[in-house]
Amino acid sequence: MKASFLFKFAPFVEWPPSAFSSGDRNFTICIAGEDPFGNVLDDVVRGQKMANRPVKVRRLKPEGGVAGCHMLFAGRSAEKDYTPFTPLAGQPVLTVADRDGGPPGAMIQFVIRSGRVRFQIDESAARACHLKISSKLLGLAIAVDRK
Amino acid sequence: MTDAPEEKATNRPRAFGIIAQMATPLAAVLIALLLLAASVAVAFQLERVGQLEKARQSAVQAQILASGIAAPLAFDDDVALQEYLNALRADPQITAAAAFRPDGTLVTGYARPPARLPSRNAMAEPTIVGNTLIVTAPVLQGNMKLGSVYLQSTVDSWSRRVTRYLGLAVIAVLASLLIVVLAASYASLRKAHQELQNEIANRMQAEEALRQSQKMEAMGQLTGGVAHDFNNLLMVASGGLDLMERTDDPVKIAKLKAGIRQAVDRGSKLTKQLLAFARRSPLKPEVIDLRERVSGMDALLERSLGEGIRVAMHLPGDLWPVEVDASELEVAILNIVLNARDAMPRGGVIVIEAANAPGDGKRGDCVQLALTDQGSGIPVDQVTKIFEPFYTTKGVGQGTGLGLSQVYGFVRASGGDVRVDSIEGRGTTITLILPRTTKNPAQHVEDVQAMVAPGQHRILLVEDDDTVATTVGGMLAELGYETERAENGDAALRRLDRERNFSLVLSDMIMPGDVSGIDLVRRVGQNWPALPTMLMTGYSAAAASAAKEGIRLLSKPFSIQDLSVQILAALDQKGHRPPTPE
Repeated sequence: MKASFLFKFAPFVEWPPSAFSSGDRNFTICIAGEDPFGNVLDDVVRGQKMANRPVKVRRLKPEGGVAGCHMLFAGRSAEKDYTPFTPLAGQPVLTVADRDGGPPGAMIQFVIRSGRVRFQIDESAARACHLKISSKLLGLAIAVDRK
Repeated sequence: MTDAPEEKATNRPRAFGIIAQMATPLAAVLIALLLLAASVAVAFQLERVGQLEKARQSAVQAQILASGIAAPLAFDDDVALQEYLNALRADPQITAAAAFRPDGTLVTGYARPPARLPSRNAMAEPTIVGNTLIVTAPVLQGNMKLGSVYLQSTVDSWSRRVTRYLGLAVIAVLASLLIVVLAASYASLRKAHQELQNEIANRMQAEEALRQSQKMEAMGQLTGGVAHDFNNLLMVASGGLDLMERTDDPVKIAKLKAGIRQAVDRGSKLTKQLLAFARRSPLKPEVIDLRERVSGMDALLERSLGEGIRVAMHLPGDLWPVEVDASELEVAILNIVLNARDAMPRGGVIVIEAANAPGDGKRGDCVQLALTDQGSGIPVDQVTKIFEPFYTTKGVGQGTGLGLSQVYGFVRASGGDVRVDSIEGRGTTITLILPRTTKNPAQHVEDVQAMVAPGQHRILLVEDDDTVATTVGGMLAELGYETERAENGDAALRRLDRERNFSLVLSDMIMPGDVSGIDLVRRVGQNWPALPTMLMTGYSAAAASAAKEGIRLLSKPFSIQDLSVQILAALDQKGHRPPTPE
């Protein structure tokens, strides 16, 4: 369910043109830490396109950089000093994480509410990174942080 | 003779009339049908536009719905989805609404019975099945298809739509009926009008024919009467000549000559009247003194009336002058007096009296000339008819019915009126009312003496008839003029080219050859403007046209006195002073 959601966030978000370098032809969803989706995410995005670009899923190595990512989902991690979003400050990358158990600081955080997957949005953080989140998505969020 | 063209002329309007009669109702029916067809077309067009409008509205609604439910559909928020769909329930025309996943499976929706939701949604153009309009729209966010929506709404049923157009239909049908009814009444009016016109034309034709036949009858009577009169006159003349040959007594000869002269004068008068009947000669009004004119007729009246009838005149000396045609006045008086005579077979007195009648509000000053007889009078029912042309109570050969109509024509043409007062068995008074004129009467020269030539003058006499030429030539010689004769207009022109010492050209009007009298006068006026000309004619129609051109005219028959006066006037007018003998 989360995998489907993760992918479906993308159409409701508008990236600045600078987010798409001319060399990279893909729309890349990166996953840091533990991958909770497995193959499900790959199945969801297979054959899909975002902003006329084929969607790819990249699982980051702990030591790997986040360059080229348009979305970053950070799963749990046992590592110390696990701050996957820190290097992304100011960069147009939509960050997603679980609220409970996930690393803090994500723009969109999954929340389980009465057995269903819902989310809350830190809209000001997204705006700081030049990402525009559709009001439709904001309207559906259980909480929106507008500072 | 004129049947063929008339027939053609009347057939054409009749054909047009039939076409026109048929055209009006046909056009009306056509217009009515067109009106009906137009209203049906308008209704269908409105209907079509309305359906298109409805489809567009539904499509827009579906798109709004699709846009709204994008996020709830994407993130399985059934509560929010249901809220969006429920908002549509407010519209009673929307019978079903639903959201579907990208794979076409139903997420949620509602349907009012009997409408049912499809289990799978297939994208399609808006379709109308019966009263149902089905619209679908994809749910897209960015380029990603998140699902689809399905909207089903009702359109008005046929009965409702027909009801909506019923008012329009009633108006259109009534208007069509009105047009047809109006056209029918117009056509019948037109037909009646046409018939009336034909009737009028027929009556006018009949009247014309009646008048013509009356005139022909009158002409026959007139000819009989005139021939009878003429025979008497000729009898007097030829008998007088016979007697003159048998006597040398100058007194007797003078008496006989006077008798012949009288007969010839009457004959000339008769032909003048005949010509006047044949064609109304133009009036030549002059200012006259009624007393002088009427009293001058006493001899003529006595001669015309015969034994047993006396004329008494009461004409005051202070009568106002009137401006009328003197000879017409005389003819009118003669006509009235002759009627009076015929009304008094046992004799009696005819009183002619005149009086000034000062004007009242209605008309100006007049002079009334009343002629009263002691005859049988005129029956009341005939008083209004006596001035009608050809109305006569006299037998064939005795009257033409034109006498009193001449009286009426004369007074009307003179700006006056005529009044009849009659008592049956006692007598009749006919009063001529003639308007007063402010002009003074011309000095009337009585008994003009033949004036001899005032010196030496050569006159070119153009006349084709030898007898007339001899007579007129003799008259001119008697007056002291030198005369040369030319036989026709061409000869006269040749003569004038050769010799220039003529003082006057006196020409007949109707002559054989290329140059008529009028032509000759015109040519002389162009080539020799100083040379005076004068025409002679016995034909009144030609005389009228010559008078119109201002040509000096001598009406045949004329006396030697007339001739001398006219020649002097012609010579005088062109400045031909008589050359002094010294």
